[in-house]
Amino acid sequence: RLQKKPGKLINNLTLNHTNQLSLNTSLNGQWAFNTSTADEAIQLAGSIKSSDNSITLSGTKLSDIMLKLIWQAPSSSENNQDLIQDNPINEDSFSPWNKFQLILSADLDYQGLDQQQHQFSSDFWLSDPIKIKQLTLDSKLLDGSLSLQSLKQYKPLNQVSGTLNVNHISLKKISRIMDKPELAMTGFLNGDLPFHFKDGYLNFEKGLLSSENGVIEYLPQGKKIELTQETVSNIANITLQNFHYRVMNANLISGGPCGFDFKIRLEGHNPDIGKNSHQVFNINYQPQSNVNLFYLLLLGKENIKKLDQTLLHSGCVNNN
Amino acid sequence: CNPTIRLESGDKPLEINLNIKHEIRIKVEKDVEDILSDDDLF
Amino acid sequence: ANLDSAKAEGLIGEKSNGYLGLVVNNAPSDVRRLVDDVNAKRKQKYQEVANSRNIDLSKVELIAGKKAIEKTQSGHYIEVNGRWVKK
Repeated sequence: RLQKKPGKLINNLTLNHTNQLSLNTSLNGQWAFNTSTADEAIQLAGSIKSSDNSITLSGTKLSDIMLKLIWQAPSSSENNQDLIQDNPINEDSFSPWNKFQLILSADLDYQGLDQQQHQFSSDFWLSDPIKIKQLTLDSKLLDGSLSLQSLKQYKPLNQVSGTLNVNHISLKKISRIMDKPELAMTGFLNGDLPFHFKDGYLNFEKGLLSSENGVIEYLPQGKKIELTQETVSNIANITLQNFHYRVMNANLISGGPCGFDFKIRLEGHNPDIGKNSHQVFNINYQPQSNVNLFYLLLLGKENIKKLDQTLLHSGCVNNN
Repeated sequence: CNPTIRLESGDKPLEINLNIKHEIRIKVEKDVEDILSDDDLF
Repeated sequence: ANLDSAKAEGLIGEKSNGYLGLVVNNAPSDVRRLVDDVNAKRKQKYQEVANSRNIDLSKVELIAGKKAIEKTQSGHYIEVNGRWVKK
């Protein structure tokens, strides 16, 4: 059994793509080669691990990144199961390098407003096309968490799908991040967001997020308007000035890189306009953007402007 | 003076339907493009 | 002199900070005046965008620089990492 001594592989790797992405990391790892019989494929076990480094994407800094690539010597059963299920005779499955697990974890100080921890992992098979399985995400953010376990079997990247579970996400923090001073919300979102990939972009469909017993204060003029004969036509805004909802259901009909379609139902009352009054809102909320919303979410309004043209508008050509 | 109205609904709640479009446009690119499409400046 | 001819002759080029720069140091005085004049006008326009978007002037200049370099036709000069390069 040929054993390679563990040691520093690459001392310090600094990758400076453009002013938008810089990555500096030190990589170290070790392997054990196992070639017991001539005809059997080389089995490889080992890992590359990099830590104490940082990635800056267009001004947004991810720190304490832990990047780990792990090659497992496939146990005989697991290996055959993949072989039989995918394609029994394929030289890809015999080369040792093309199957590994990637684990990426990072802390993110999101625009100085929310300290987050993210952990992503997935098995990769560098066949043509690239396939992944055992996709997991575990993110602590906004006083709550997002989690995902998906893909028992290998699937090409463009057929990846799953359900993102949303747990106890603070609406108060979301409203602070949205930086719309006229809108303040409280409550915590829970729910599931099924997703799939369509022509390379993440898409959501038939998701539901709900919250109970929170308050929405929407003050477009910065101060409350009295409900009088004259202002009664503006009942919607007036009601939303101090709306105590018992139930909020946000149905995500569909969502893609440049727009979302929410049907939101709110049940509750505004104590200022009637002690035991009871109001219900059916809100059709359809944000549309000329920039990729996932980049906007990741980088924030200021930093996204430094992103180059193709990335900035990727997926949003028709909204330009 | 305008008396404030109290809404004391009986059993039936007041149902309000709202459509919110919400255009999110990052504009700087366009403004800068306009400047640079002026032949005297580019 | 006008912008296109000065660029075509390789006397001036687009810098990454959104302004024009002299590629050669013996450029004729009318070309120098042209560069100063255009840069002053650009700066005023950039300031207007910065004010209306309430972001820093330097941010607008940075984006304008990227745009200008993207728009520059091949054969004309652009500034890359501080050096003049023909696109």
